[in-house]
Amino acid sequence: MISDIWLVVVKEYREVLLRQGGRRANIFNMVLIFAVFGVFMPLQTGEWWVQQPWTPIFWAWLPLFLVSALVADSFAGERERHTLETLLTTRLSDKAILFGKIAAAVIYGYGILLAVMVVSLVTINIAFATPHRLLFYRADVTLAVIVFGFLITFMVTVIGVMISLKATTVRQAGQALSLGILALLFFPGLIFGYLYRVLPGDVQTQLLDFIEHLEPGVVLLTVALVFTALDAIFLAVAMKRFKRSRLIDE
Amino acid sequence: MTEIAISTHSLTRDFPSVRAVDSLDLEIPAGVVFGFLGPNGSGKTTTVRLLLGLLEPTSGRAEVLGHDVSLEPQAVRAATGALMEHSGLYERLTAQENLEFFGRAAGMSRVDVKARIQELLDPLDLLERRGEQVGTWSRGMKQKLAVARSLMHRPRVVFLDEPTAGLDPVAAAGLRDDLARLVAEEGVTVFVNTHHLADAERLCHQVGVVRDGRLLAVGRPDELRTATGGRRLEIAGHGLGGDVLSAVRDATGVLEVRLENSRLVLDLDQDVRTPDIVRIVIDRGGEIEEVRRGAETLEEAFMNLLEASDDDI
Ligand SMILES: Nc1ncnc2c1ncn2[C@@H]1O[C@H](COP(=O)(O)OP(=O)(O)OP(=O)(O)O)[C@@H](O)[C@H]1O
Ligand SMILES: [Mg+2]
Repeated sequence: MISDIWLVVVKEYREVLLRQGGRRANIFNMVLIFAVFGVFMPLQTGEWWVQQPWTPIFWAWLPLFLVSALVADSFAGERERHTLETLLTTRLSDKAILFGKIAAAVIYGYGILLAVMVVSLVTINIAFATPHRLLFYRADVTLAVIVFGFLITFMVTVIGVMISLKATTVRQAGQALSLGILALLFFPGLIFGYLYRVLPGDVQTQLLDFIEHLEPGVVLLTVALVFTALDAIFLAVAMKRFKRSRLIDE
Repeated sequence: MTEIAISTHSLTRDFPSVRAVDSLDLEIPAGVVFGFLGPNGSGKTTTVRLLLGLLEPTSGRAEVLGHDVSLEPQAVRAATGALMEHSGLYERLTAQENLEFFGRAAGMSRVDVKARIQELLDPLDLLERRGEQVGTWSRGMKQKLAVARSLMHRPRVVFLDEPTAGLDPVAAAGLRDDLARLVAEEGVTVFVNTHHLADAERLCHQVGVVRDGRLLAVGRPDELRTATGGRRLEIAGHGLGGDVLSAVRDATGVLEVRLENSRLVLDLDQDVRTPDIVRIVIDRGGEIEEVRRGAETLEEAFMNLLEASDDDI
């Protein structure tokens, strides 16, 4: 099973990353990502880059855009290029195919996220560290990035794969996915803002007070648990939807 | 007793607006090349999808190599190869990468995959070009590669859905030759969908003719030809006009005679024997080069069958 999943992952990379529009374009993109997020921005920000607690928010959206190309292509691409049915005639199980597609995007997006984190740390140290004092991210921030980076990458990937499963073309899948990502990024804030405004004045103050006194660790843990639960639900839905007979039937 | 590779029992599949496969009963012995012949929309592709467990039957059942296709679809897919309507090749990958992927997907070892690629591609003249991206290839080359891909893991049964579709006559003939050779070498049971009668004549031991999801006839290609064109007799030779023509016309059971390019073409009652007619021709001084009973080609037989099924409606 693991080797079947890995087989699909490698196939995805060869097909979508190494060959699409020429390998050069992708290498260029990669270099650009590392240059901007691994070198330029840390240099601009200075030491503060590793000290401030808002880094997780900055990092969180990076994999979203990284995975979206792979994920939009996952099934819509096979359908568009007429390879889906043949893939389905193989011995590979439904799970191996689905998990292979998901793993390809998660490993790619999350892997680059972690790599950029390391590269930017190296940059910061080369530029600002003294022999007596190496610079490092705050431990809580590091943990948050590692945990949330994965949970969010996973969630967007699974949602994207489901969109791609339904879409007839890669283009359609890509557009739907971009809208989805925007919604994911802005809706929670908008909804919170709206609810906040319609609340009576004294409740507003109470709410602010409550938020101010929250234990950051507890908040992060709660959010992580919620995300984990959502990830599990989305994965279950995707597994239920990915049935061979359904893919040919429509 | 011969082993049965594929069997269907009242296999039926409905789509919202049409019954694509209608109470299909087939029994295909192992080692046979079975041609599934029918016009567009007759349910050939749907039948193959049902046999591969890619679609659920509405009713009835099917077995491939002893596995029920609804209960053990994965066992069926592991033991079979398929070339569907599209070649299904990854055009951005090289030929070798394609075969590697499908070989490994079928559970073959790396070493085995390598040897098998050599074994399959060499006689197809594709070995030298295995490092090229498939997207740059001609349709004929892609189709040959797709055939190799379907046979990669040495399946015991292979499904081919119109393998020569979209090829020019030369490429199609070449692919038919390659297929015939591979099928003989590998001893594989083949279920091939086609509406090219040349495919059926060149490749198949047995053909089933299907129309609107219903099986009209099954048999050897030559049997079908005689069964459907049995009332026709052609005699080629010299001196077949005049006396010979009028004597034949007067013979009992002869419904119609005409002379076409020094050939006598006769329509007969079903029970008229060929030797009786031949004797009349010789007695009147006709010189015979060739005698043929039955439809000229499978194509004609096929059309006859379809016309007969029209009459039933
Ligand atoms: N997924 C589907 N949904 C609805 N109808 C379908 C579907 N697949 C096939 N059909 C219908 O079933 C009938 C048989 O189609 P099928 O593709 O099996 O025919 P075919 O013999 O393979 O034809 P062709 O020679 O054109 O490939 C057709 O009327 C077709 O429109
Ligand atoms: Mg078809």
